[in-house]
Amino acid sequence: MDEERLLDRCRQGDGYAWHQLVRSYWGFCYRLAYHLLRSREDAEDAAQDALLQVYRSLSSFRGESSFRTWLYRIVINCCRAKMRRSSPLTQVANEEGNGEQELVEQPDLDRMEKADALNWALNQLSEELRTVFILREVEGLTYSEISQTLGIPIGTVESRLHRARKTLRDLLKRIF
Amino acid sequence: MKCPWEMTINRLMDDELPDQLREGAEVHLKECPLCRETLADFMILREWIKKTPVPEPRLSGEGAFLKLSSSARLPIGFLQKLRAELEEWIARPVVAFRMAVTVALMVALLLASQPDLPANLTQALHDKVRTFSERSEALFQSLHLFSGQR
Repeated sequence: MDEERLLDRCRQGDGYAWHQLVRSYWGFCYRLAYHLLRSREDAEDAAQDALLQVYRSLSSFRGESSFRTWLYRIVINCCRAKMRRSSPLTQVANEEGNGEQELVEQPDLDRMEKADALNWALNQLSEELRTVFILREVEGLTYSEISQTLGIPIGTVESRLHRARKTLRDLLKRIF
Repeated sequence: MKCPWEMTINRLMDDELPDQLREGAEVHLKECPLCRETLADFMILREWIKKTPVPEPRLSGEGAFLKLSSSARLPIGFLQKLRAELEEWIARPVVAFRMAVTVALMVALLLASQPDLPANLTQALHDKVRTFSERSEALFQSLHLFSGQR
C-alpha cells in the first residue's frame, strides 16, 4: 500500500492501516529519538509519544510538506519535551547561553570507547545544535530540508551545524 | 586562528556549494592547511557518528502498535489484535527458537514413525532425534541464560 493511500485509510479510522503505519515508522521514530536523546528508554517513550501524536493529529496533516518531514517535526518536538521534563535546569541554561556549554567537566577520553566518547560529547551540545547535527549527519537531510523541518532559515542551519561540528571537534580532538 | 573560508568548508563537505563556488573552495583547500585540517576533523566526526551503534528497542513494531492501540483506543478487531500479539510473541528470539526446534522434532518423529521405513533407518532417525533434542536443549539453555543476562 503506498503512503498516500495508507494515510487516507488511517484518517478513515482503519485499524489495519494504523497497524501498517506503526510497523513501518516505529523504527524510524525510535532511531531518530535515540540519536537525539542518547538513551534507549527515553527514545522509546518519545517514539511512542510521537506515534500517539500522529494518531491524534493526522486529520490536521494537509500534505503541505511530506509525511516524513511532518513526522520528523513531531519526533523532534517529543524529544524536546522529554529533555525539558528530564533536565529543566540544563535546558534553561542552554537557551540563555550561546548554545555551547562553557564549563565542561572532561572525562578521561583516552580510556573511553569511541562511541561512548562521542555520546558524551553529543550530550554536551545544546538541543538545538544536536538536532541540526543529527539531521544532517545521521539522517542525511539537506540544509533546505532541515530548514523546512525546523522552521528556521538556511543561514541558521548552516551556522548551527558549524558550531556543532566545531564544539564536537574541540571536545574530541584529543582522541581523533 | 580562524580562516574566513571555514563556513564554506562545511558547505563543501555537505555538497551544498553551487558549482561556480565549488571550484574556488577546492583551490583554497589545496592552499590552506587550516581548512584541510578542519575538513579532515569534520570527516572523522561524520565517520564516528555513522558507526555509533543504536541499541535495538525493547519493543518491536508490533509491541509499539499494541501499546498505541491501548492508549489511543484504536478501533482494531479481535483477529487483528491477536495477530499483532502473536507476531510480537514470535519476534522474541527464545520463542522463535523453541518453535523451530519443536517443528523440526515433530517432522523428524513423523518421519521416524512411518511403517514402511527399514528398521535400521528408523533406528538411525530415532538416534538423530535424541541427539538433536539433547543438543537443542543445551543450546536453548545457553540462549535463555544469555537473554536473561541481557
